[in-house]
Amino acid sequence: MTDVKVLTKAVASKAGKTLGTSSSAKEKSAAAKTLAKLSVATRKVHVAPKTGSVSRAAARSAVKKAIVSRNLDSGKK
Amino acid sequence: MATSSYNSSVFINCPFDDAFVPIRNAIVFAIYDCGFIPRCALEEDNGGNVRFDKIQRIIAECKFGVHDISRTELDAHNNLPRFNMPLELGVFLGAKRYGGPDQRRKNCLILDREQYRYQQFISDVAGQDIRSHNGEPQRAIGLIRAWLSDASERRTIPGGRDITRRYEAFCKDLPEICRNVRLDIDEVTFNDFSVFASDWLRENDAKV
Repeated sequence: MTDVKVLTKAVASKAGKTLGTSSSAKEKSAAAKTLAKLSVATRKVHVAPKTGSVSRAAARSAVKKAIVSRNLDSGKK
Repeated sequence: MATSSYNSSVFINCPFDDAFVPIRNAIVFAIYDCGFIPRCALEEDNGGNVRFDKIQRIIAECKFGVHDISRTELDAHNNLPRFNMPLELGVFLGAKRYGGPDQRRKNCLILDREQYRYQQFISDVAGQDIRSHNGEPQRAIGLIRAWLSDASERRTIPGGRDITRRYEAFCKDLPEICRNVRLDIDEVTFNDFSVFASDWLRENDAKV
């Protein structure tokens, strides 16, 4: 015969353990946010396979400068 | 065995003339933003390679293909139409029909300027997925996004309007990017545009 023990919170606490409880609304919300973030974050934008007339480093630097310049301009307005 | 590169590569078969550049650029940007890699015969400018060999190799390396058959006008110089796009579409469909297991998983989107116009000049492709971009880059972006989302079943692809917003922001930055590398916009090659678009999206963390 199988011996079934019911572990109460009080017993578990005495034993220095915690019992699993159902997720709170806060936890569920955090999980939903993580999932929403993941759905965008996991979209990997690939590096262009070949370069053209501009080196990869020069292109990256030009893109960064343009973005910084745009951000500065939008800050002025 | 298909590589991840094969499963993410999209062959672009489109006109190479200046009038088509706005649509081509929008397609390239949308493909990157959807998480795929655009490939095109323009990516290699090696005179040592036989052009048709190069095209066939790139087609073999791409699971997906966008074929724009809208350029049906007669060439101003010789008064003849261009047949390259229908030929490359035929190679793609042939690979899908007669190729190995990976090639048979190929999936393509056929674009034209107007809905059902193709029935007048290439009616045998009826039954394929043929869509009309009306010569509008924003519409081309929406079509690419909807097709890639459906064909790849990836659930990480942003919405068409979201991609369009980023594309418009990128277009505003492009003149400055070109100035920074001392290029005029009309000198930007397919590879230059690809590197700029990909770097811009990565730099902006694909958001904006």
